[in-house]
Amino acid sequence: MILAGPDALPEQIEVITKELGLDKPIISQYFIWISNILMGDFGKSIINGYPVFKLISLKFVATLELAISGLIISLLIAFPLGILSAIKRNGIIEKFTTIFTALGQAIPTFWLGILLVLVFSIKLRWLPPSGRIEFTENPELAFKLIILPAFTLGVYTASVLTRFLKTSVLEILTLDYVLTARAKGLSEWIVIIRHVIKNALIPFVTVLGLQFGAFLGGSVVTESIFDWPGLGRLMLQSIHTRDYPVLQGTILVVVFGFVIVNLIIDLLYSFLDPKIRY
Amino acid sequence: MKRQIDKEIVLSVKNLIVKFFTKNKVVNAVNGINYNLYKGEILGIVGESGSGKSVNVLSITNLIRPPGKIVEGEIIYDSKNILNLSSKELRKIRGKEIANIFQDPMSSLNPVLKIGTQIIESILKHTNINKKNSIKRTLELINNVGIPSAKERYFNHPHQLSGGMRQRIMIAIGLSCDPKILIADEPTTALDVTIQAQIVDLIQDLKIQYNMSIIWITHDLGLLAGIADRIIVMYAGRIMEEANVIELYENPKHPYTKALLQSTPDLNDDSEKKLHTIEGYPPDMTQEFVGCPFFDRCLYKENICNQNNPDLRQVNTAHNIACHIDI
Ligand SMILES: Nc1ncnc2c1ncn2[C@@H]1O[C@H](COP(=O)(O)OP(=O)(O)OP(=O)(O)O)[C@@H](O)[C@H]1O
Ligand SMILES: [Mg+2]
Repeated sequence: MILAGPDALPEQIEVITKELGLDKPIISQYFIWISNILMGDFGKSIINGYPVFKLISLKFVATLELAISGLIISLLIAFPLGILSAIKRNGIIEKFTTIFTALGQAIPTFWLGILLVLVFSIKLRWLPPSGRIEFTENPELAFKLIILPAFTLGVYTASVLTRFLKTSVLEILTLDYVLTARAKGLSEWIVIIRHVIKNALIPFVTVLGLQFGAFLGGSVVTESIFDWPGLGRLMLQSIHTRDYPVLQGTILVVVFGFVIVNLIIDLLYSFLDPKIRY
Repeated sequence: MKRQIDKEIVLSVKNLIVKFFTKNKVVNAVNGINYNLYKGEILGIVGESGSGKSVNVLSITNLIRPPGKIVEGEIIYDSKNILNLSSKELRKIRGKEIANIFQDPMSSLNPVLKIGTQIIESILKHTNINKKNSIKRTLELINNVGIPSAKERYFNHPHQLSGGMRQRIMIAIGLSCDPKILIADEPTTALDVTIQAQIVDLIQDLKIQYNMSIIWITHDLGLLAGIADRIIVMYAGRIMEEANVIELYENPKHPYTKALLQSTPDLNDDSEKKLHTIEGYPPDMTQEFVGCPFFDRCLYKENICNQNNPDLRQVNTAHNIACHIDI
């Protein structure tokens, strides 16, 4: 109906229905779709006839790029803040961390994104406000373009990770083996680096994986603000246009990405936790 | 079983007061204790749970963490007050001069580090021995605490070892730098009985081999009878009685010690004597005692006991009690 338009003749509708296989029961439509996917055929966009797989791959690269940058930013923030605020209690760092984690979780992403654009692009003119180009084309510009969206995406996650890391470091510091380490005469830094951090990383990677998985779904808000051609926006568009092959394909890729991330996390686990060996 | 005690003092604890400043109350964990540790002796410390034994010995190497604080006192080692040392000087004593073994071997080792790493880091920290020889020494230590196939164990993680073996590893860590003093805080409480006996034997052997002084904490007076030279009885963060081991068992002077001995099963005694339990509750450590902290539970109490806190006084050669009453 949507495709053919409101003035379509009944014959036109019939042709389209046949072509898309909509005359068959919904179950068999689903099995046809699945078996096509298994053969590597994601179908075509019903809007522009473009192959879904190609469409998604292009967007996926953009989303992955942003997800990794967002993750790096959140790690760069969470690691020092989480650990230092746990060690130096009641210091300036802890105060800053408390404020950061509270704000980071409270500020809506769209607001932060717009604020960043206002400050860094419009006022200071340091960074371009939106768009994306390939790193291979112009690395410097590509880098400048990704900073603001990555930051926008990363801040919330950074505050979640910071809080989580701080709590687990604080907890580990009270454990017996830390007392053993101190009783050996090791310096506080060695105690932290050798005895505390590796243990703190074990629960940390779980949270990290979940956050990264969420990034892979593409952030509709961040991608929209910065005109970033990723999966989030693709999904949004395909919902608007009722482009089901694209929508289904995108969701499939996102789910698949999630599974892969979980697999990587499990592998990381076995590396960090000697009790788990495959 | 007469032991020679060399009367050279290696460690003096002077008027030690430790409190925990928790959110809603102050816990008076250790309330002004004084004692010496002599060269080559095993000094036993007994007392009920919560009587301040661990806090006492953790203070020796200044390992008390907030909210705990050493409010007052001196720990004299090598004619210096450990509590006044810079953190760098302090770290040279911890693990090198004075080593600790803790109660629960299941939680005292780091789960993610190899056994070898946890022993060798001490050696590398405190000695100039190179890496290769440190590894050799680590393997010797593992061997020396009675664990076979040291080379394999070196690369094991704690979860691959039994509780008894882990405690042996803790002992190996303690011995790794030839300490002058070994502090064993209930080293066998978490282990089952046969393993307990093995660990006790091991520490006694190693004491002679390494020529150490040992502070041995336990709930178990029966255990101390066999190994200690002198015993300190703690109650409510205070020393109640201090005497050499034979004197304490044969001629206990403090009502608390008497009660404690009556509640300790004697394995050599076949008679069906009934074990006594000490009436009443352990003291509330948030309370500041004016009188004797054992007052409520004491069978010999008199009026003065509730008004005046007794100081430690000598009743016999090398036998002190904190009690107003002569019994
Ligand atoms: N971190 C802490 N915070 C608050 N109070 C503490 C802390 N550590 C110890 N205490 C208190 O200090 C007192 C002495 O504790 P300590 O651990 O020395 O007892 P203990 O004699 O070793 O007992 P146990 O036989 O159970 O090991 C107890 O009342 C305890 O509640
Ligand atoms: Mg204790």
